[in-house]
Amino acid sequence: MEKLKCTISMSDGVLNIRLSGSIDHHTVRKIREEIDGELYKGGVKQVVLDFGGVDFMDSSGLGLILGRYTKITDMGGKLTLRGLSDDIMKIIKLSGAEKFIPIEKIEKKEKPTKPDNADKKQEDRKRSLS
Amino acid sequence: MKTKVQNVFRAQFSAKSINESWARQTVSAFAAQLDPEIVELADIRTAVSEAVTNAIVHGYKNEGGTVYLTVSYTYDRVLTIAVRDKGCGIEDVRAAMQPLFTTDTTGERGGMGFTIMKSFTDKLRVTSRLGKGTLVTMTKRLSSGDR
Repeated sequence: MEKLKCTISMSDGVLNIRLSGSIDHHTVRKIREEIDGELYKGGVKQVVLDFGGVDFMDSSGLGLILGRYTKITDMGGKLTLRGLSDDIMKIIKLSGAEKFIPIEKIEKKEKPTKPDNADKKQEDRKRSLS
Repeated sequence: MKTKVQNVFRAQFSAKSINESWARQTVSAFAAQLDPEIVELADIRTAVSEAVTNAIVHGYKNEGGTVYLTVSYTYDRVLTIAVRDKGCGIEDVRAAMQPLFTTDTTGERGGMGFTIMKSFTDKLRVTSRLGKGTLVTMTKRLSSGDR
């Protein structure tokens, strides 16, 4: 998955934005404009940025978060982050943003430590040895 | 003593943002030959994305050019990634490497690129000459393959 998409829904002043795909300098611009377009429509009390479908994020994503945080708080609203993977959390912690932006905790799933095809590779190795 | 290089690849590509994902995936696929941990590959992808983005955005100021990428690994699993541009160069490398340093005035870039490269690899070296370009070299020792 490489493209970045966002699904936006609004209910009782809460703007829910679910992101999926990869966030980098190339993909972030369109999404930023889409989100800001919704913010400027007004009536937003809270924004929930959901990263549950994001498979990659670099500092461009951090810029997206910090930029939206500034805009939303200037408008008197609140920003909450949801669905942050360990990889994304690592980047956020480097900036210290977790100290002032609320983050919803997610239930941890058991993560494999090796790439998806690692088991297959091991099987292939065993087969070639036998 | 430096260990001998086991494998190397070199690529050059247009300084266009669409190539950022290609660059990180290509380096990740090359590093995957060493069967690293998933978290190591994720760190490599992020560090490469930052270095290539810097070359495109800051080195060439989004006006195009060529990015030069050289990646190698040694017999003792040390991966070296070099990203070079022939763009404008950095006036004060030490200042640019400070966390939250940014030349961006829109508030949309966090100034965390070098900080991420530094913390996601073992060693980061940046050399730059004004008007000549910048070379970013990152090294990372991958965990032992005997798992």
